[in-house]
Amino acid sequence: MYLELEHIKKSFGDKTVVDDLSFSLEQGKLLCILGSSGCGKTTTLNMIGGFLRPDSGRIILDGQDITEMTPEYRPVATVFQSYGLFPHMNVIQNVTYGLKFRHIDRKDAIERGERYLDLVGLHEYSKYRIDELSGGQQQRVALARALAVEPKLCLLDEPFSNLDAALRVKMRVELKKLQEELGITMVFVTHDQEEAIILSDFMTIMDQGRLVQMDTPENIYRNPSNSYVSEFLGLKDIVWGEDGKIMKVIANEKL
Amino acid sequence: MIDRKKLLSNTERVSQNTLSRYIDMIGDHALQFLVLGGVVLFIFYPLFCVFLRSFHSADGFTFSQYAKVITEESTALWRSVFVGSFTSVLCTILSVVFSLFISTRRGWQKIIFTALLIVIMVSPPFVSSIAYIQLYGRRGWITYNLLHLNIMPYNQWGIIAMQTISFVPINALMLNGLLAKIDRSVINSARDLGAKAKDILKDVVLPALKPGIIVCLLLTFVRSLADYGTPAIIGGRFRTLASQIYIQFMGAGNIDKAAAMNMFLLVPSLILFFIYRHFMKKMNSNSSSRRQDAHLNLPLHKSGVIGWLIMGIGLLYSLIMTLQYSSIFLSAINRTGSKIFSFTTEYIEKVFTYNASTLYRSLLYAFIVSIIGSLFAVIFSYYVERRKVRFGSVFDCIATLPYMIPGTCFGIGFILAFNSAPLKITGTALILIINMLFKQLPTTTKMCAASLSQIHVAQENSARDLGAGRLAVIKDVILPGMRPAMLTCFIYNFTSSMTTAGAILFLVAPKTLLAVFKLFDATYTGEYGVASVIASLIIIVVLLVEGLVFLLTSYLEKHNVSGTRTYQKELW
Amino acid sequence: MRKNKILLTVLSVIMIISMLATAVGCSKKPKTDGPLQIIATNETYKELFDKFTADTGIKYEMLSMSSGAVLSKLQAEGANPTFDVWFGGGINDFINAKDLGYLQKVDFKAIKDLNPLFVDKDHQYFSKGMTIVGFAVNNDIIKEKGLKSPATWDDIIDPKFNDEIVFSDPSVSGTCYAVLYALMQKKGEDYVKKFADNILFLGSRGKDPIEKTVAGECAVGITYIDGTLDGIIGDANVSIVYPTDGIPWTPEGVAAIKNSPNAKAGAYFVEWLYTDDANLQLLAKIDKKGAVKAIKPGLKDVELDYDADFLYDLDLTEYASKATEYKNFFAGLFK
Repeated sequence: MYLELEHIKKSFGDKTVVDDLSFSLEQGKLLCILGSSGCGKTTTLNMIGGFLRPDSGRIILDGQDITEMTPEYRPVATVFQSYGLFPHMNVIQNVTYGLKFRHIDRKDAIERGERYLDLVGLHEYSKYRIDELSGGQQQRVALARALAVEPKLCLLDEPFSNLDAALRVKMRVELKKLQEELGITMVFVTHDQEEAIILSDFMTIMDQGRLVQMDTPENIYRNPSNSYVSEFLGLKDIVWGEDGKIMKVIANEKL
Repeated sequence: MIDRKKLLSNTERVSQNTLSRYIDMIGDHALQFLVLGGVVLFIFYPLFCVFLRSFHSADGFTFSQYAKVITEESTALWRSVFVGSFTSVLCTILSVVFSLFISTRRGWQKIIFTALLIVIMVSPPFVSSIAYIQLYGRRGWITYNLLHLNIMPYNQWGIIAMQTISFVPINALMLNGLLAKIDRSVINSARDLGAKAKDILKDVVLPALKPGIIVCLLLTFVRSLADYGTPAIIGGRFRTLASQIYIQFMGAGNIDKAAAMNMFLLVPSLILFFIYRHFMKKMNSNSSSRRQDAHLNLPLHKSGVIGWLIMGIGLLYSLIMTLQYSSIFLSAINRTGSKIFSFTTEYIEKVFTYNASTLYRSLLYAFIVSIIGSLFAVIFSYYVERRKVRFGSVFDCIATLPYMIPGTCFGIGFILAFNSAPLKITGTALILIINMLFKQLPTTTKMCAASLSQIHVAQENSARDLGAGRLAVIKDVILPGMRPAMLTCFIYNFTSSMTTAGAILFLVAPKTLLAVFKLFDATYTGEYGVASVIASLIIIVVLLVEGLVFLLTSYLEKHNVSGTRTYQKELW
Repeated sequence: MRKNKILLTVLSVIMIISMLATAVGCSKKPKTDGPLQIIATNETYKELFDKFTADTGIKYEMLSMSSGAVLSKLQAEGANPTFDVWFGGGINDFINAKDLGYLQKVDFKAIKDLNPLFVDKDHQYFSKGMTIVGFAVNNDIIKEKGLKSPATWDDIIDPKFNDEIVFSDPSVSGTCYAVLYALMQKKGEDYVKKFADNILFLGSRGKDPIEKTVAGECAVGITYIDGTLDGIIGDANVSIVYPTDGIPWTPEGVAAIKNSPNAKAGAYFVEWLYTDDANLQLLAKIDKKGAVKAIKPGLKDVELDYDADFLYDLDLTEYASKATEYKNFFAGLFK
């Protein structure tokens, strides 16, 4: 498998945040880690990204053990929840930032940056300052920036949580399209079950640091492994699109 | 379009060759060593020398100096605490009132009052005390000529009054920063619901200011303890520990005893420091990144008694300070001792014939300190606050030590520490520059710490994520993000370097004479005219430079604008 | 990876230490003879030092500082003083400095022409003149308060003068220590207590009393007396009074510092000063007093401004040795 996590453990003091987590992912697929807050999903993401070191276990990407690698050398790019855009640089400078360290000369870097900006639909905005952009636009810049370095793996930490509902739906569709077009392997963290089900090729449900169930969304829906999963998903129905993909889920009405 | 096959077989890698990795690591470690080691070498070590000296006497190691202090100086100790407590309470109240006053001003009013605040901060030592006497002394223009009072300001109340009004600006600026962060919509909703101004003050504003108020109380107390200039000039018979230390150094040549006395000042200051640190963290964590109007939407003139009181005190304070500074400027061109105003340029001529070179030298050193000092502070607070190096709080504590002791102590420490091999730099420009830089570090690092918390961790992480090594992160994310802090540090460093006297008093050599030393000299020898000229020059020059720097950075910011909206610069 | 990190840290530390060591090694270079470094009590002596340069070709740089501060500086600098010549200031500080071993022995021919009263028996300190002390009286305030202008020391301990006297701290001001010494010796402790009671303001500089008197802050200032006072008084209604029951005085010191950067040049300065009469005449002109005549009685064209017999005998050894005791006593009166 392209991405493998083997028995990853992480504790902060007495609290075990991630407990013996293992899963693997094929290249070119989108995995969603889903769970409520405090379940350890962001911690897991940070460990894959290299910002936290697991207490034990291994992370293997494309056959290479990257567990001990620092973030700057890992072939992994992350889109953070708050985007982490550089406010003192403009859009194109942000997007091409990572290319500096890959010995790509400036002209080529700008060209590539603009290609990715185009991909996310922001090609007229390349000279804009970050604070002149709306939330959705900023999010797309962050995405373009991560993709521009053409990483082996792209991580996203609740990237749509700051956007309004309509924009979220739109962004989901675009992200999925992009991911498939580029064939980028992605790991996506969210607490929104609708988002997870629609976007992912595979879903991992986490609870209190443990992996509860990992499978395709359809399989999980049909065969939730325990009551936690089914309650968490809280689904009444799924609406399927013509292309065999899930178009919409209808959540249970919460009391 | 993107070539998918090419994408999947992408072999670009962040440069992993050993040399560049090692360079990055070495560079990172070197920077850490530089700032942390610098703090230890140039703050801890000199103070340690003073500490050792406190056990010194003609007969060798002894506790006798401490015994002497307790028996002979207990009154001074008590008086320091007395003055410190009163000053900190009064000053905090006044600072809160004044910052409320300023925050509620708009437009040109705001500019005038903020400018006044800045001018006050540029206060050359001694001269303000003298202006104070000229205005409020037994024969003061105000007290005697105007109000026909015959008061005697040479006692603890004079000291308290003087310290209170001179510490207000720096407190008010900090409180202003807090007031700017209060969510305007909260106030608007409250007003909407019918709350009167005094309710809003009580329920919204003051709670938001609480950590700031506590910080003010603590900092003012420490500042008052360490202040030797004010009691020395107007204390008369009333001696505080700080002015006693000054006397022991300057007059009695009693270094050993003075060293012991300094230790007495240090202990309470250290305790207060830890309390302060706790509250400072609280203050910084409440940072709202939303840009909003710097103006506090509380119409004082419609706010009943409290409102009028705030406005009244605010105006009164401004008046007092304006008078004080006018007095300094007038004394520069008025023949001293004459009963009516008689214009003269003799003092100005004197200054320029004899002292022009000292002024240039002061400017040069001040610039060097400002530039290097600001960088140092930024990098230091980055490693301590962000990278959380081991023993970070110890280093932070050391960096704050110079604040808690009188400047003379720090200066003496430098002589003791650096007057012999392996590091003999006494008598050079270097020792002055280093001394000033580190003396100002407590304040500059705090300014940076506050600004640092505004840089989201996600930015740093993104940079690293995309391949930036440690040094690149500092260059690309931290430094640019700290530009406003660096500006504030620059201004503070420049002002302080031009006006600091205590520490450098013992460190100047004839060839490194600074303007402020000449000022001290002129005051010492009673040449008020000359002293006023030098003081006025210092004030004007500092304001000019600050203004230039400010304009320059604003221009550079605006120049980078593109797109549809203009970039709004947040003040303070 | 971990091992590499440790190795790198060690490497970088070694690198930095060696860089520092080289930088420091450079500073070990001995200082070459540069301009003469002078600390004087006043900038007006520039004229005298300029003459020194003109006569000898040796350039100088000067700084002004009070003598108490100079003593502190010497103590702090220990074995490596940074200045060569100490010019002016209360003699007791010089005596202290000598006892601590900071002064240079300077022998030269002209010593035999100097009044032995003003020369250290070991030739380590000398004198450039004397400071005498009297009263500055603000006549306007005297009139206002219905007081009588004081003529003697006994006059000013009258309770009527309560809070009307400005004096400087003898711990700091050499001039005022001279007063304290004289009062303790001639008038006794009780007198000094009453004197302290009348003091409004204890300044920290020698010039505080005259300034405050001119400014109208007090009726009487205990001040040094010389020709420069006229400049300070200006057109204020202030008179100078020589108390008739005794005039406190102190010699002012001159010394070359031991182990200083330009020690030889420093010693030469002292020799130069006393060898040519023209120098001392210039000094008298600058100081606006003829006190230097008492130092070198054979000096032509300079006369004392007052009768030297007026001054009581001063035992310098006792003057210095009583300092701590008297200063502490006085300080105790202000608790």
